[in-house]
Amino acid sequence: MSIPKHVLVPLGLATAASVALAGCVSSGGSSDAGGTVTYWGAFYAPATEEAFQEIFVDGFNAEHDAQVDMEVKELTTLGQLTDTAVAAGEAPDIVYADGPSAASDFARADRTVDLDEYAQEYGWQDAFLPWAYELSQVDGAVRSVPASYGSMVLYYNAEVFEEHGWTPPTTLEEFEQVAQEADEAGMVPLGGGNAGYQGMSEWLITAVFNAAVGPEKIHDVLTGEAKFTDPEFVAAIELIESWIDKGWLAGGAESYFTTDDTANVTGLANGTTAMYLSGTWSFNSLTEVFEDPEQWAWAPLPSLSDDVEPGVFPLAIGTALSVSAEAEDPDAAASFLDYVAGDVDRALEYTARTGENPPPLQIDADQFPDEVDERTVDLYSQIPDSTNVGYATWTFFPPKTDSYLITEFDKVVTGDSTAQEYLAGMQDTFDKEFDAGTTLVPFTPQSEG
Amino acid sequence: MSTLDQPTRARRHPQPVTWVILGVLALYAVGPLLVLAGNSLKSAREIDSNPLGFPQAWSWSNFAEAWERAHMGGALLNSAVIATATALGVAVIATTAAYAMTRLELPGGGAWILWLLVSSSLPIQLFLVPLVSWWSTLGLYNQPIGLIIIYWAVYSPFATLLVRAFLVGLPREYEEAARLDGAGELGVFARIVLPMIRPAVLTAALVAGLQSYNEFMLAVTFIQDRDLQPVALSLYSFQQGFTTDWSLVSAAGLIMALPVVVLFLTMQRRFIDGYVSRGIAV
Amino acid sequence: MITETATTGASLAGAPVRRGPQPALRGRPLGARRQRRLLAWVFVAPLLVVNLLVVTGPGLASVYYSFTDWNGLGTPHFVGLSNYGEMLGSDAVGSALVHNVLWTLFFLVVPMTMGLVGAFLLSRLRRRQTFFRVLYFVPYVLATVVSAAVWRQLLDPDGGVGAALSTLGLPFLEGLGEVNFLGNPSLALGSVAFVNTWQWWGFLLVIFLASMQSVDPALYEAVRLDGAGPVREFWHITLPMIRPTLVFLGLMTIIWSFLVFDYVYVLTQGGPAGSTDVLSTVLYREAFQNQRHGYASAIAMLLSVISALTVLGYLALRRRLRWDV
Repeated sequence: MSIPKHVLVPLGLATAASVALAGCVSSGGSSDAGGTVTYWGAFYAPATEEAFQEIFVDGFNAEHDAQVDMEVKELTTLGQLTDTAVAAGEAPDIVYADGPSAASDFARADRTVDLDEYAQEYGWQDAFLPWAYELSQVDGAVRSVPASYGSMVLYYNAEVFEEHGWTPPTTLEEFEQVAQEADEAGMVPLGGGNAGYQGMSEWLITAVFNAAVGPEKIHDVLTGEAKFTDPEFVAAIELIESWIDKGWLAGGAESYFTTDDTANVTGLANGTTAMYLSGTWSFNSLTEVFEDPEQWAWAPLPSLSDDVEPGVFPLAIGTALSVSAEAEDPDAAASFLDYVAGDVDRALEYTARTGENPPPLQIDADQFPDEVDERTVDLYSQIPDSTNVGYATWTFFPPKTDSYLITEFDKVVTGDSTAQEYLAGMQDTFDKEFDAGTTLVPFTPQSEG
Repeated sequence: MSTLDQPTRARRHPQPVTWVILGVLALYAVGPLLVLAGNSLKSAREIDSNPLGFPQAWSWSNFAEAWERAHMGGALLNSAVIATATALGVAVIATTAAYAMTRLELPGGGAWILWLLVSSSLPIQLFLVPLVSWWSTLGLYNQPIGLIIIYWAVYSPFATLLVRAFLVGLPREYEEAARLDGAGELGVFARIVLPMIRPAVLTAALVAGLQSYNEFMLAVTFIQDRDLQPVALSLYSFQQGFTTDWSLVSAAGLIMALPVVVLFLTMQRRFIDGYVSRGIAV
Repeated sequence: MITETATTGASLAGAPVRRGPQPALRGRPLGARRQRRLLAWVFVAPLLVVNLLVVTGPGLASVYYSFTDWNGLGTPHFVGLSNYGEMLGSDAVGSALVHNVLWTLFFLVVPMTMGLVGAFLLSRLRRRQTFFRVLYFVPYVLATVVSAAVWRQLLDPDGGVGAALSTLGLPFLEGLGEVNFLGNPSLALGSVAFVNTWQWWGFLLVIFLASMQSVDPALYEAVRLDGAGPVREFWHITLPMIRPTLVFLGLMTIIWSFLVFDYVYVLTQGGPAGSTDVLSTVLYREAFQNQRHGYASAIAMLLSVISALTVLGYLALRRRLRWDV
């Protein structure tokens, strides 16, 4: 194991030289033919990474003078890693955020650039769905680009449903009927839980708020015209409490805390869980875990009260990309953003190859390539046509309210907090953020206008 | 002679109660490891339906898949470099500092202990932002040596105090004898003290090396280049959205632990020698 | 501190240079003394430099941040003592502190005893010592995510050990299948501590063993001649001889117990309903989920004050008991 000294000397020199070189590259400014654009990507699987590299990175590099240089990260760490790097002034040129709210934090701290002129140059206003374009703005200027969007749906195992003669529920009554029968059959009627990732609680809350309270009322709260303490919200949380009491949700209060997403997905596959409220990000894992990938199915959320039409789609932006204020070549960075998120055919080619959620672009059903999974096409052609769309908490709620909603929900599950207490605290937290002016503008419910 | 024989025999043949206690402790340590080994040979779905039983079909391919998907070959090499450099660096830093505190006239006394212990009570997560910006100014960001220096700083307080605790308990006669014989300070340190505290230094180095081998948060923050990343990051390659493939994580976890167990086995003798053979030989 | 100077003074008195008999060499002792002091600073320099750069420097910066509303990104604004005021009135911090204290007591007693007893028994073995030592140490080698995953499975009410034991037909084990160790707020903290012990005690054992092996065997021979059994050997020779290591690990246990993060975060993230929240999970949540670095820095200061008080308490005790540890 001992290394002779004369080997170590050149090694030390080489290290010193490479440190010096690295310094030159990062501070030395761009060369004549367009600079480098650094990008941190994180991917679901090696095949996903490969598709991204080929379609977006290699494609862009072949067509442009500027070159994109991608470093691959893990999905679980990308968010915090970017936060640290941005704060330390070491951000990559393309800055990742897990939604418009995080992107707006960077924008308000002037860590990312104003994209208005690029929005005009590339026609983003017409390319993106209006609600998503609106969310990309901070104080009237475009600051980020939505790179993927999704929604909450109800997952089930088609084979299991057929066996029991169930059809996907559309009303509260039907939903509770299926849950009741599943319970009697010894299954967990409704998957859920927050083990491994506390944020799973807000998937449930998003689904129930939108399906039981309805988008109009949520809009009113977010614009300061109604309160979380209003009876509709109380009834929604009490509905969840009743599911917990009956042992329907995740099998009861205690197992709520020990059930993770993996257990729910495998439960659906093994036929031990009947239904699961989760987001479109689960498409890929379901395909992976089901023995016969054809057997998993999704249905729009049922209506959970008389006030709401069945089939509401709470909208969510999964990834929002901005350009770092320290980017060497912001023009090239912005053009890469457009290359990734602004072109329907290219975006759908990526979706076809990987099953990843597409950006919120104006897409017609006939634009999907044949290889895209039918269930994906179905979802992404239903949403733009629907007027019954709502609000995902992580996309539309301000950060502290969202954080409160997740951490304090535990006490609702254990019974330490009543629905009223929980919602009163939520309103307090929201009031502070609303007064500070850091809330995002929610789109006007489409059923109204 | 007979009085001396008896206890020696007792030492060679421990009482049954010894074996019972050691056996129970062994069961506690090993039981979960067997479950882990089982998981590494099941499919992800089987872990859910058959958690504690034997694997129905032994999927040895999990190991190959984990190895390839997480680029474990290169990552293990990177980790070997980082852990070795951390262990060596910490051993040097800790041994010299502990020697200065106990044997040379370093002013300050208890203040050093206070400083070392308080600085090991600071949550390093909070320092990531300033450290990243300093490290990039110094050209240490995204360089293994940059990460290694951080590990030196983070793991040396414990190691210093550990070696210090050994030095305090060590009689000074040998050193004084050597000084009377005209040995210089460095000679006393290198030829007299060092051989006697070798078990402590080895233990401190091993602990620091291991901690750096398993460390995640600093590694993920300070190494951006995937080709330079250590193996602790590999375990996070099996997360698909919010769903984790526990069979692959288990396989990767075992692969990651194996080199350490082997190293530990081969270094056994060096831990056991020490005072007994060397100390008396002087 | 006084004891410390006394110690060095004592060693100085014993040093041959000081006794130097020949007046002709009077110049040398002073030079040698200066040389020793210089060497002391040279020897401690590497520790000083890396620690100041990586830990103490940023640590002082967070003293400053603890008086601001810094969000980790923008410009910090001075807010006086309001972070501290909020912290002292916070239920979350209060209950986290209680959990840390319980955790500390658990770790001072359970893993320490296991490590000490295990190391003592192993130190008396001639054969199979390596076998057991490696066995006990392997859990420490595993990454946290991996061992946490196994234990989540073992503690699962449906498929875990409890469920398996309840099917054995023994009446006192029947209830076990109903127990959700990590999901029940009153059991969760203890369960996490139990899992962490599994991984941790082998580490203590290895250090205790290394320490026991540097005890002069002649001491054991002496008491054995007096006819002492293993229990008396343990109390009268082993414990006093490894006291520096024992006291040091006790101190580290206290300090580490207030910093505990990994297992709590991976197993429960502080839940159910805050029942396993400790100071570092609260700090983490405030800093990285709520973007309140200023407030999180105040919590970090609380951690430092606790450890400073612990160390000062130890130093006072040391002076009173006249330990030269």
